[in-house]
Amino acid sequence: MDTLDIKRFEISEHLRLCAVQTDKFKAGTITFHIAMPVSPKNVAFASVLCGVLKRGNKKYPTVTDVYRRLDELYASSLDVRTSFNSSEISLSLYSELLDNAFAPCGTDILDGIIELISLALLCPVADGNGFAESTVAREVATLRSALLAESNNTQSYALIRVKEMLCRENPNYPTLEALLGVLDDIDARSLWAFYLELVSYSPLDVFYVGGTDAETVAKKLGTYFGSYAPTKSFSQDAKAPDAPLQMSERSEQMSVSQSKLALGFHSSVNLMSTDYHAAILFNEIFGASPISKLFVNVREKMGLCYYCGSSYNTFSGALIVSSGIEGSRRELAEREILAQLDTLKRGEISDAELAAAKKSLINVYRQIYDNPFDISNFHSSRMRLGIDESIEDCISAFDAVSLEDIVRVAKTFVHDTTFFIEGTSDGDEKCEVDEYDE
Amino acid sequence: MMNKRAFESAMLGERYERITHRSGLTVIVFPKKLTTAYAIMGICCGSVNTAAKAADGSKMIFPEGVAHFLEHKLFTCEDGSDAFEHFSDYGADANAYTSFNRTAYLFSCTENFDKSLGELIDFVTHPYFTSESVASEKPIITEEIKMYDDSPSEACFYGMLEGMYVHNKVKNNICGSSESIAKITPDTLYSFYDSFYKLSNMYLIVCGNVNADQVLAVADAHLPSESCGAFEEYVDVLDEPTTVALEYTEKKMQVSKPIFSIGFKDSNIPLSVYERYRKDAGMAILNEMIFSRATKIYSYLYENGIISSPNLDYGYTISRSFAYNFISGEASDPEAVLKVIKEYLEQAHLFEEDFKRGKRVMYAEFVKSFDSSESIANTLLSFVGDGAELFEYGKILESISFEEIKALFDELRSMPTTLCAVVPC
Repeated sequence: MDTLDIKRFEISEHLRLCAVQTDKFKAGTITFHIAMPVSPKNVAFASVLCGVLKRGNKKYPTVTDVYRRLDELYASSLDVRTSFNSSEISLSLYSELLDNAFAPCGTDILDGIIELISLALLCPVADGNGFAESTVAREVATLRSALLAESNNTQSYALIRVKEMLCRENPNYPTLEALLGVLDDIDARSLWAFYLELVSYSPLDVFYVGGTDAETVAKKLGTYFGSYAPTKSFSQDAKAPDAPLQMSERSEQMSVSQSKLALGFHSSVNLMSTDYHAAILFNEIFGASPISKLFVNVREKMGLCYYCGSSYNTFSGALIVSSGIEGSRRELAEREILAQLDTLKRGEISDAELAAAKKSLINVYRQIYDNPFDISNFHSSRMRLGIDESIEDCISAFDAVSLEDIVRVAKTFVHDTTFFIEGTSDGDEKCEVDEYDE
Repeated sequence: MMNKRAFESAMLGERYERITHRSGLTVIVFPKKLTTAYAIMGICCGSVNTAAKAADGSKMIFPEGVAHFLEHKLFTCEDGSDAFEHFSDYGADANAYTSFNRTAYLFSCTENFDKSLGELIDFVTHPYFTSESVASEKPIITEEIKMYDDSPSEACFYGMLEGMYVHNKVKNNICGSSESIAKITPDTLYSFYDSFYKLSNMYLIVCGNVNADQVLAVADAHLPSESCGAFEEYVDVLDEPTTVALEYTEKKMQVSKPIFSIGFKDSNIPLSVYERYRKDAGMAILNEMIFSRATKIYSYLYENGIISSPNLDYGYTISRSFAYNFISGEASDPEAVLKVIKEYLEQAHLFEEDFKRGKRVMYAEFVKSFDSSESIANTLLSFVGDGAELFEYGKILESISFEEIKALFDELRSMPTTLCAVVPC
């Protein structure tokens, strides 16, 4: 069994570090998180801000300067992005960086990256009035373009829409339309005000995995983030799962050949519930593996689709089944997906299915040890919610789940949402092709 | 008698062994202290292989998409079970993929490695196809084809290849089409299997906390003890012109803004495998020097709104039968992007400082690729399938000179281009 040497530091009142020192990898990761409450305004402003922060800082003022510096630091990456769930936004600054041991000329890559992240977050390019108007306008245009392009990929677009529908009672949930509506309010001045508000939220959580010892990482953070002194406080609540809603169905027509069917389910089980591990096992058996009920029956036996799988949101407790189907077979596919859920509710799970699902999950969780990003993700998400659980704790919990536990959890899932993309092209007429040879 | 050879890299602190098993199968074992072990059974054939020589010497033609169809069906076992079920019993995660010139069956696991490896060897070496199972797979693959057909980025990429090549099979969709797969029967699959799935055309690659003796013990138990004969490659000679098929292709699809792929057709493909890898490494450095976010052309394109998304992808691909460089992104006017890039390439000068930067980037990417058993195993499959040694790539990167890059830049400037744009319906 593998083990992780995890050390935690409170570098200041506002700066927390969780570090895993390991010589297992040639490249490590460092991630900084700031959390804010979710709202369309916060998500839209934070997304534009990410683009602005990546474009330069007072020491490296242009995109070219920033990326030349990253290349000097042996092709380290620097990503600034937002992610959100139904209650919080996390703004993350993430870098994958080569271990100093592989820098032939003795470059301190980690020091360079922590400096660059501190410059991006604390010293963006701005004058007395805030960010440059042209920079903000460019990033607003980029975000508008990206939001409109969500429908280019019908598979991920169906997931976005069904998630929005599952959160239809939450006025703060950032739908695509709500985000587009906020963009007109973003200019240099308002974004600057948002930036000042963002850096007033605390704490800043840092997660490091790599070859440098935790004390050295803590010292470097103290050097570059000594001035970080936010005045507000936001911590994510361990929220109760959302309750099922009145059934809602929605369809859109698109000029594509394959239709998409996405079903949403609410349950009373999320990661704060004692049945949380049973819910993950339920999802594995229902639709998360090539021997799951959905794969074996909807795809293999009935040949209704190329993909049909389920995903369980451990934060909200919602479950989504997503599939790509022939449009005329929608009813058949939906009926079969729900019939397969009923088999789990009736406990029709063989000993072999249960054992295979446990082994599969144990395999997935043990593989976390081999990837710095996965280690960081597993521990940082738990650290931010105040959950003290190791990978081995999770594995032991999966082992202890019984058939009765899974049946009990399965019965909590209630289908209350359906989103359907009706493909209106038969494939042959889908693409009109113009071509010329000069 | 088994032929065994070890390769080491002091710079990386890594080592692997290559063994020719009695059966003719090449076995590569890359020990690595990771929790996960990853194994691939790879075959040197993919979507471009649609012809083979029959026993009587005549040419057999297979429908497009046959390699991918076979990859789907090989998981079906003679007793009616599915290999996925067997892997699941061992807690292993199995999968497969088909590329232009490789087919790979693989698994990763954290326990029961020996049993999973035996299962991998068994199901890949025991084909079993029936009319019913082939018929039942067709609607599934038809839906897969539709899924890719609906993807604007896939359509744009294949549009670029269609614009680039007149005859080369690389322009055809890996999955084939609903018309081509309709022609596939169990006999088609058996003929294709017998033509390409020879142990001497296959590679077993393992990376993880395992050793060569352990892997060979499993191979001995599941493979024949004698060679089943050499693989005789059929080379389908295609008279591919050096010019592009079409300079511009446009497809109307469900997109909010146009996306584009610009292809540079490279017909100057070295015969020697190491010369090809040298060109691959040189082009990777050159692309970093001229198209990365650290360059002026990127800044010009983005700051002036000529590209509408900050993501500008680029890369170079080379194999024995095709080679191309590409740039892709999103832009309101893709033809304007091509014009700017062509003007830039005509006028640009290369600087040694950028060469050093590009070389440093590629060195770092090469080192980082040795952190993942999956990445190591898949890269090894590419290399050993070509008859090359993986650690040599690091030495090639180190030895490339600025003068070589300047020569490659001149070559790139003279390559014919094709532009594919996917525009809103």
